[in-house]
Amino acid sequence: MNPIQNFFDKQRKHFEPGGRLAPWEPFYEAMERVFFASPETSPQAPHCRDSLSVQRYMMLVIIMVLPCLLFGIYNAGYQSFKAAGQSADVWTMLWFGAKIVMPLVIISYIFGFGWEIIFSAVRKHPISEGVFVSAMLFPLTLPPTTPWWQAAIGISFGVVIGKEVFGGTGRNFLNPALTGRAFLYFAYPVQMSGDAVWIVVCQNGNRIVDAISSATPLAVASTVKASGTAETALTQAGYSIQTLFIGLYPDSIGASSVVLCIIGAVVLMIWGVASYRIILGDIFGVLSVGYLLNLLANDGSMPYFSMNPWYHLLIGGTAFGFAFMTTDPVSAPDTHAARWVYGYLIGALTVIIRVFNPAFPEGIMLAILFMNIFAPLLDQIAVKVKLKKRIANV
Amino acid sequence: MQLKSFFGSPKPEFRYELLSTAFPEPMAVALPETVTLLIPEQPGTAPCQAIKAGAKVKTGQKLSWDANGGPSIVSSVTGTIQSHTPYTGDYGKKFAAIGIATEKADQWDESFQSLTGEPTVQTLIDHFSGAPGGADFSKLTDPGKPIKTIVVYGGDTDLLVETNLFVLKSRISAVMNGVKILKSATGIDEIFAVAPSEAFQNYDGHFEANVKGVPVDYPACQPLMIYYQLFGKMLEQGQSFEDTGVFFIRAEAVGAIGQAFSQGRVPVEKILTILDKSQRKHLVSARIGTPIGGILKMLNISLNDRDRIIFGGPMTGRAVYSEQQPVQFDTDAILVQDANDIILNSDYPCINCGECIRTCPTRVPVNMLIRFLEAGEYQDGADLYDLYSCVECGLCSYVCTARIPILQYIKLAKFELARMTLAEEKND
Repeated sequence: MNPIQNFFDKQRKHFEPGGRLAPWEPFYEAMERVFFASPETSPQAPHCRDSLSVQRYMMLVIIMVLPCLLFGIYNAGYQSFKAAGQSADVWTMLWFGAKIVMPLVIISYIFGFGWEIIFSAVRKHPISEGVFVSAMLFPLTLPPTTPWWQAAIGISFGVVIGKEVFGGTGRNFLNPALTGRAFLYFAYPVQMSGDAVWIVVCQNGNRIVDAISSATPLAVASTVKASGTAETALTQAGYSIQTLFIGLYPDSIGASSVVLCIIGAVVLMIWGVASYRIILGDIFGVLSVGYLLNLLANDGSMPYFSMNPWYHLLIGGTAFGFAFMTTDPVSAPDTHAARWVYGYLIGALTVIIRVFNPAFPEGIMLAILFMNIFAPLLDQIAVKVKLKKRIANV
Repeated sequence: MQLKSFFGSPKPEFRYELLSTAFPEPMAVALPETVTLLIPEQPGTAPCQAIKAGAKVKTGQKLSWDANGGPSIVSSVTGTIQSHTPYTGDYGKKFAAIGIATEKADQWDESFQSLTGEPTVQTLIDHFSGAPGGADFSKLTDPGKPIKTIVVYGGDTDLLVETNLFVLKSRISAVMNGVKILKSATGIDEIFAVAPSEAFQNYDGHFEANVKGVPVDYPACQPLMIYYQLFGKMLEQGQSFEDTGVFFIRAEAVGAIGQAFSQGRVPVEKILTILDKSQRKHLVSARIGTPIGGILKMLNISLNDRDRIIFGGPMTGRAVYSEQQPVQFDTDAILVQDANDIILNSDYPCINCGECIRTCPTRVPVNMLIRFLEAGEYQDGADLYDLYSCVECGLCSYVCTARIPILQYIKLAKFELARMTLAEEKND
């Protein structure tokens, strides 16, 4: 017999009514369903497809985020060795990266899941699996040097204030992972922003408490001197289009690789999990406002104004945010029309925050949270417009 | 019919049973010791003489609570009336349940035979309202709502069920005869016969009706979908088919009429699809009023604690709570689910995944609608979010990842709105 199945069968009795862990039954059930689906099939047509539940729906997202996590692990290790001027083989870098990233992921799951279990037990309700995704997305948005206790506080804030106090998955109007990220950003700006947080310093393969200064593409683009252009500044800093596309540069753990985000987004769109309306709206928003700024640019304006708008899609967390954060169905609007507008405004705001506000080099997080709040309003307008077009019942 | 977008393409598609191979004779269910018949009326003071306890009834005899007219049904057995009990059906519908102890040999009531020479609507009302397939024929005579079109539909209204189509295909001559009789009784010339196209080919021209095919994908055979496909419009809030001059009748009911007028006896056996716990199908034929426990026993379907019996199919059926429930004229299918197979509904909130939107055949914004229905805001649901476009196919509940009983919410909303409208009309 399958050892995993064996394990679950052995533990089941403790969680059944009367067992000593009976109040934690939601936890057992959620864990079991991570590993096992229903083996049922129907003997004759029409063959019903297997049933999609919230849990499996969320698992589809996690599957597509995993490549970003693996790449993030490798990239974290790679950047450390590169900054230390040492060379190492792939496995050494992966191992070092895992030592940086996995504690953050594990902390995120322990605390995110812990809060979820507490709330589920109090509410006598099964665990809602949205937390699986939130706890996976959250660490990927952090810089690799984030202190562990901050990660714990961040995910706790995201899950509790961003979601549970409103009633759990399905009733949260903010994206929980981004809520936690924003909390950290404003509470601990020293550890969350600046040039010194993107690379974990390593010496002979060991982590040491020190800092290496390394400007991310966003920082480079926003601080170009008036004489140059953003594109050449990026290329000179080593961020060629190819590098930006593949993602081997210092940035948030999982957000650097545009290509993996594109793959994830396309697969999720085909599966029907992510809304293509939102993603296309996002991209239109970035490009159109980017071109508008190009047109407004004159000799005296910052070179950031005249940067090719496609660069906005490549630098920073744009791709990651568009693929996995804006498409969170719960905090997005409900109607198709509103989703286009929602996506467009997120893209537009991202560029505007980046270019006009040097204090916030990354605009996407705030743009998404801002539009989350406006999503119900967009729905309201979409419905009003639709009703106006309706022929009156006489 | 359903628009298919490239994105989100892995959505479920279902086909109706098409019965393209053989027509197995339905298994006959033995005459039970007692049957229960439901007269659609709230029992008043005392029943009339003919259905007092202890009164003898004959097979085919017309039974009504009140001696001077009122809703009636036809007795499906010969025997002695034992009991009367008030019975409340779905959504508070009131019935009088009449228990009859049966006798082995059938004695036929001959009053119908004398009426077969000249079919009239009154004969249909008196003798066929409780006949297999059933229909409310009194709607044909409402002077305020003249009927111009009759639609005979041959598809089943749920998946896995094949009762209606079986009758249409295996008793085609009875159905053809029934169409003729409907025509001469009502004087209505415009009759449509609608069936799933692939299941019912080459009948055009043999039929005294305009044969129309509908797609074979669920839910194209629901009456509301057929209405849309034939006439290109939907019903408004509170409107019924009769309000627009259309009368819907099942092929099975038409077949019963055809058979009755050629044989002189109203059929008393109902054909049912039984789906057992492993979803195998059995076609049986039972007297109307047979308790379902007996049928399940005959098929060796054992019931345990927490198993579920459902009248109707997997999409739109409703659970019943007792093995003593009688088979009614409109009971097409009985689905038995093992306790372990039942997927429970939940109180998860909607997570906005959009599955219901993609699968909805009438493009109702289900995700918005359900938020209002959950909160009891039924009128807003109807005004803003197309509640009345819903054809009650149940696909949204089927695909719901949060397992919200959407169909039940929608039915409840329509019921509550209808009740409020009725109360307002009374007050005016």
